[in-house]
Amino acid sequence: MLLILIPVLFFLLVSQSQAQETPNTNLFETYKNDYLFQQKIYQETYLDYSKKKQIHTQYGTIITQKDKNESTIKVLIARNTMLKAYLIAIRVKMDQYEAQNPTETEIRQIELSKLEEWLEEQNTIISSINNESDISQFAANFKEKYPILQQQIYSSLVQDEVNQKILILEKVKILAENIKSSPNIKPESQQWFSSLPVKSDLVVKNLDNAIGRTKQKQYSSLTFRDFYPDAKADLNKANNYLAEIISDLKSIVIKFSE
Amino acid sequence: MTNDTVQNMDEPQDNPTISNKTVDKKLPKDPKIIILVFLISLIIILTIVALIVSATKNNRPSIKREDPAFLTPTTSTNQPIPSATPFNSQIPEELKTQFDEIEKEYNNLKNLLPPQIDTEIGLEVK
Repeated sequence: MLLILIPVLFFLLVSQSQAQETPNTNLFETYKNDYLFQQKIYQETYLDYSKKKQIHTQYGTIITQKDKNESTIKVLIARNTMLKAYLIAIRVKMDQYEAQNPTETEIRQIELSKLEEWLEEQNTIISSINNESDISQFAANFKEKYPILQQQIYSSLVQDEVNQKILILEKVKILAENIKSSPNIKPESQQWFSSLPVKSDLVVKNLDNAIGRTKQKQYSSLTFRDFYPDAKADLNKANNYLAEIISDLKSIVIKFSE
Repeated sequence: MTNDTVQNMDEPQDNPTISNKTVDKKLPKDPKIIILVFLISLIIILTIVALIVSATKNNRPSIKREDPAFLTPTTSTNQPIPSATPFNSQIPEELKTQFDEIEKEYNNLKNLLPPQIDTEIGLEVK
């Protein structure tokens, strides 16, 4: 009896906790899992492609050539499918904090959708190709387009993180006001809030810097100027200021609570 | 003829050179018993170790999820939030809920970094 009850209770608890999550989080998790599955397929097809390529280099027959072309087409399709799944996952993820910056977020999401369509279209093209010269042309086109894809991906990641930090900052400001007006906090605490606007401005400044890096001009379409580490450093600075603000507020509450 | 008792050196029980035999007789020779004894002693040792470990663990100060140390994000460049770990209970309840909500959001970032791909696939033409 107990053996039956334990799994039933476990299932109930798990389903209850899952129900508490927002639908968007669930949707993101679904697309993330799909992306991870596609990534696994890409890795498998890539291994097969590497093997067939090696065999063709060794023997150089018509049969090995055919095998290699087939495995190349397979891996190119898998690569595009995986990238498309990744783009969908981050586009859906951006919905969570969209309210903090709807216009910019929507622009990013539209750009991601366009790239998803482009990848889908590429898969239709590659399916009809059967000779090495066309495969090579197709691969060259992708290589040329890829820096644009990277630019959009990293810009979207930065935008999403900025949106999240803005949400936290808004909540922190509301909390600070609540602390100021709380009857449980001594009035002497008021002067301790002086550093809050300064740190808050520093958070905003660093977030602006991070966004600014995503909008810098690309001088060449063939190379990707990797702005993400610098943008991430700005985001980390903003994160640290946020942590300091939260910590300061906590200290004020502890020091002046009645 | 005298009736004096004389030690007979040929008697095995009195022979000092084979005295170990009496000791050997006391040890159990059955391998099952040896295994049983070994297992029982192993269980006793493990029980003692488990008791010591659990006692040490209970004496250690516990870390709660709401402690500011948990606010630090995954990247090492971020500073942990300093302050007031043991005083969280001093925060009034209505403010504590807000603090918890903010800290939860702070730790909520799920970054999904792009996959590493080979952009040279299909490019090689002789």
